[in-house]
Amino acid sequence: MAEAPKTPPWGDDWMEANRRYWDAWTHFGEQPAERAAPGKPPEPGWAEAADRWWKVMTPPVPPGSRELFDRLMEQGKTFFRFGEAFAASATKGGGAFQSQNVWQQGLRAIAEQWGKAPFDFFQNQNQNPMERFFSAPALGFTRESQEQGQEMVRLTLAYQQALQAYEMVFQNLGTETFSRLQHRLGERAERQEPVMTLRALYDVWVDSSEEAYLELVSTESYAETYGKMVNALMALKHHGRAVMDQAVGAVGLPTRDGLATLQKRQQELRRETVALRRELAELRAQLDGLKGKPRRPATPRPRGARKKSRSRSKEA
Amino acid sequence: MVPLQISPDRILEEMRDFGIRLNQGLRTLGELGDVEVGASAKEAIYEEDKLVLYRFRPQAKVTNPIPVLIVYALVNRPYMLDLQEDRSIIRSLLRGGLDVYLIDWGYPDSADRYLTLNDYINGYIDRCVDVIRDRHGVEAINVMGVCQGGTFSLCYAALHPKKVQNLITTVTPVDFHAGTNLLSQWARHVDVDLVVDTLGNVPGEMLNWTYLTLKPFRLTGQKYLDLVNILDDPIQARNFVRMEKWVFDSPDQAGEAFRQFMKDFYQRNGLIKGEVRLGNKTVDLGQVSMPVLNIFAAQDHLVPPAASQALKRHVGSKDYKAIEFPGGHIGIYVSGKSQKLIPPAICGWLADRS
Repeated sequence: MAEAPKTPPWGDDWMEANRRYWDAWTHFGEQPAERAAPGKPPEPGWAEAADRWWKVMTPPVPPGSRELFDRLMEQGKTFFRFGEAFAASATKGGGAFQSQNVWQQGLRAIAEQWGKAPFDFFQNQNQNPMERFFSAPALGFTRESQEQGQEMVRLTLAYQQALQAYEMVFQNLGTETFSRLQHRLGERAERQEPVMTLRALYDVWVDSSEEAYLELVSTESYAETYGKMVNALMALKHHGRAVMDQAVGAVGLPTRDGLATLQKRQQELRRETVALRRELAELRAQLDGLKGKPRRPATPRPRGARKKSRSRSKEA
Repeated sequence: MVPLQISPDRILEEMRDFGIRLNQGLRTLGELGDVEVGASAKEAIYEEDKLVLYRFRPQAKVTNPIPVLIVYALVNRPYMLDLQEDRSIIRSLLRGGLDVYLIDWGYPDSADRYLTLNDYINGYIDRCVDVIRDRHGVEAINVMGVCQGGTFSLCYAALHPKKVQNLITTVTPVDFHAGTNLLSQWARHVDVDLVVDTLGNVPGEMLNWTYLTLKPFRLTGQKYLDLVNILDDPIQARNFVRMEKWVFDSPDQAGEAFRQFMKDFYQRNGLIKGEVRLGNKTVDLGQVSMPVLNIFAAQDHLVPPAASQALKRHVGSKDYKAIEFPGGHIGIYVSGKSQKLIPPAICGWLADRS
């Protein structure tokens, strides 16, 4: 990533260039429907256009804001894809959703495109934080025993199976969402409250998805599948660490187990120290009482207490 | 009637507008710079390991002689209670005449892995309470617990009832199996021993991911599209970024404390069964004999109302009051509505018992 300048280059020229980009792209998309391939959005697609725009037009982002920028941009592209899928079916239906058949096709297009979204979400999450935390490390630089290698293979397979079962839970989520979406839209039609904008449709879709998702993940079978997946991952990771520890120990380096023992003993010692300090304070207080001195508090002494005050603090 | 009345032209127009707004919004975000959190002046009066006990500077005449200690959860950071000037429960409590203290647990690292719940509750909390008692020359102080900190406060009050004058619990889980408690359901088949033995401390980012999966479509998608709509207002944008900073500011959890909390509270539901042991003592909620104010949120997706409401059936106190806040788990602290409802209710309730 390029280093962010001190003053972000968000000048008027940049804004104008961006506006022209979107105008030009929109104009491109406004070509008559018959010139576009039937059932397909204009090329490049909106999400793709947004991606290109992001790569070409976006100046360096301040380092502290990068993650938020990425999340915002990712959801922006998601919304573009949502519109793309829906617009394609409208184009196919002659330009509007005047019949039940056409708008249902539109919803199906969304369901096809978006039924995968939650699944992808979990898959992405598995590959992102979970794998980062749990993925097995390399086996080390010494030769592992045959048993260890076999156990690693067994645990890897067990994890893959558990992950697959976990992912399978979500395979019908798109269908369930579609069914709820239809139902909610039907209710709105009865109330004479049609959906007039893509964003409003997106919001109905989110409500439908959350409802379908909640029903799915509230079940005992989901909890079991989730538990098996996490446990399989942990078992794999645990074994990987044990193998690594053995390898590290073999060349005389400190091991994780050894460090854990030290940490545990250190914590026990600190508990004892605190208890002794308290006992000593209580004894001193009693002694003061016997000597007729003012009683000192039998509470911990503030150690290293900071006296500085802060009108506004910046948290780390 | 056709339920969808969206023309392709309209979609195109909407997409164009969205692109331009996204554009403008990114510019606004880029120009915001760092956001500050923590609106009220405070001083550190006691430190131990990573813990810091703060006292907030009074912002009005202190009318209640009994100080209040706020015990925050180990999850996320306590500045949520003092996020910004117009969204600060602490500020409102100070202006209501209370003397407010807060425990900031800090960010545990691998050296803290073997901290147990006993270390937290009978160790850190007890020592903070003693420091405040000494400073004010009182036998007992008021304790206010937040979420998991409320559960800790309950345990503390049950084990040290003479040191707690009044107890306030906010969005506090008590019956961990009551209501639609997804976190509790999901945790039941997880081998917690294996998790802690493998990971040591439990990464905060992992817990955060779990919270996001409670409402994935809203919390990872819709929320950011809503953001695009408010980004033309730098004040609203700054508020959003401040909140976003808090959401993703998740300390790791000390392994042994996490192990016990998950097994004894979430899996075995031991708090209401009288089966939680801290050190050599068993936590008996019947020993919570001081007045109790229990505030819960009607739309709480993390701690369902039923999980908090159960407290009434288990505490020994004859002076018990519950308040239902019409909002969610976070809204109870940061929404405009909460600023008007929660602090006055707490200050008034305490004033009647001081």
